[in-house]
Amino acid sequence: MQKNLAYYLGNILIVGSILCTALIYAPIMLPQKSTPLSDEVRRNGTSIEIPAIDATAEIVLDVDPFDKSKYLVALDRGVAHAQGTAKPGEDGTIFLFAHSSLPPWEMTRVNTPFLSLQKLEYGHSVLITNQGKTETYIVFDRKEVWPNEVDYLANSEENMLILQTCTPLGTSLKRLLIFAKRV
Amino acid sequence: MRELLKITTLTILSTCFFFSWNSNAQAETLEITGNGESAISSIEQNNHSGQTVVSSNEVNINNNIQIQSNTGSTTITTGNSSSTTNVENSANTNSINDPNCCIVGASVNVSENGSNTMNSVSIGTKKGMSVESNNTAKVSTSITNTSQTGANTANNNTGITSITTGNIQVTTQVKNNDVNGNTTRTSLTNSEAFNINVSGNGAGSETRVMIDKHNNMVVYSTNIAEISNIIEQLSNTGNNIANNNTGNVIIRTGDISVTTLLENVGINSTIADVTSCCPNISTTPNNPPDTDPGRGGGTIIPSSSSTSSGGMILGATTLAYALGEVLPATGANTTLWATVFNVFMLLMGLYLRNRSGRSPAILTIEITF
Repeated sequence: MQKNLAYYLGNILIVGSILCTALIYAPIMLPQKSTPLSDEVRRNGTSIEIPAIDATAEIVLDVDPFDKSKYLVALDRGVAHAQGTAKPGEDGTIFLFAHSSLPPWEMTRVNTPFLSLQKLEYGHSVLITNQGKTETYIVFDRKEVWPNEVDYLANSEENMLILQTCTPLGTSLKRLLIFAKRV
Repeated sequence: MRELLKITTLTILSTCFFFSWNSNAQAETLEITGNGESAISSIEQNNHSGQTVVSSNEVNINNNIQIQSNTGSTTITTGNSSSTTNVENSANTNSINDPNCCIVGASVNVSENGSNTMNSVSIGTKKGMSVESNNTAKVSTSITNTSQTGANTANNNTGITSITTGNIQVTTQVKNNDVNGNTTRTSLTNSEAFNINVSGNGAGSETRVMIDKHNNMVVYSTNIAEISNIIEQLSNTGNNIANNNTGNVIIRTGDISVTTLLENVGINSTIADVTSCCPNISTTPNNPPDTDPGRGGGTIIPSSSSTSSGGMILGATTLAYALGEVLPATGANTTLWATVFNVFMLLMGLYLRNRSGRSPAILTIEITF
């Protein structure tokens, strides 16, 4: 009797682990289409579009990167713009950050726009639209760094765009930075 | 522990003046018409307008901020300390716009007079403006920021003694923008237009139209700005004492990061624009020169000091300043932990099947403890 119970319980655990694994990785592995922006955001708001990875999201301006409770709220809506850096349409360096992954039950394409950011390569374009006016940035570099490595961000005078998300996927261990120049 | 000790944003727009004045110059029509033969007509008009604007501003701003943070004196493990201070000062901004730049001048019509008439029109305008601005601003900012996570004592303990002090992050920003700024806009080239019509007069008639215009504008600006910025940062994560302990002693001291940003922009700026002042023409520069003392000059006494004990001064670049020491976390570790849990669940399932003795040969795994 006990052996039968162990047999069936073992089977349940094996099947359960396979199903849970599928549940966890399905949102990451399966291709998803980008959620289109609302007309209001397109006309009067600020948004980002990365055609190479089919990512489109609203940019929430002036988000405090120090305050986790605040930027997590902004990240639920889309991409956060770091307060104190140049805003879209201004000269200087724009710093944007967004989720790469979330728990499966919270993960949607809207709040993980940088899910495939690691696929961006040299020459890919990033479009920033602010109140109907679009600026194009071209990727020229990428780095994977530890969270406290901010030294190379010293040069902030260029008209540059920096995209940041966490890597490896499903962790917050390191940071992936994508550097793009305005053209 | 990250504690925001104090955020102080002090914006003082102490004095803001806006002046405008009206001239008595108005558009008029001067006519000499319908006179008979050999008539002699003469019109003489003189307009005098004068404006004097005197503004004297004096402002004293004193910012004295003292911040003290201490997260531990005797505790073994102390938390991080983080403080941010922002001070913005602005004072004495004068803007004077002449509303009479685009006025229409007199209209002169000499017509339909008989032969041999003598017609004379004389118009004289004098426009004088005097603008005098005396601004004195004394801005004093004193910030003393003391942060300490160190100075811990652990004496006379047995076993392992460990002291770990937290990190200190101090950010201070002082901006003195637009102190003593004067802007005067008028037009000396004068867009005043005269419409003169001499027609339909008889033979031998003589018409003289004389227009005499005098414009005189004087702008006196005396700006004195005394700006004193004193920023003192005192941070300590060390100075820990562990004496007379019988076991091992481990002391780990936290890092100190001090960022100071000081800006003095738009101090004593005087702009006198005499070329255009119509409302739809704006020549205001976006970034006025830092210093333009005008008559009398200005006095600028900027001074600042920044000290820290055992800390490092970071390059105060805008981006690093905005992001701080740690890049924001945008990933969830849930996936990692869920994967570990699933692997554990799979191994447990395989183990139970193996224990039951009914597992197929390919899945039989010998696990002994």
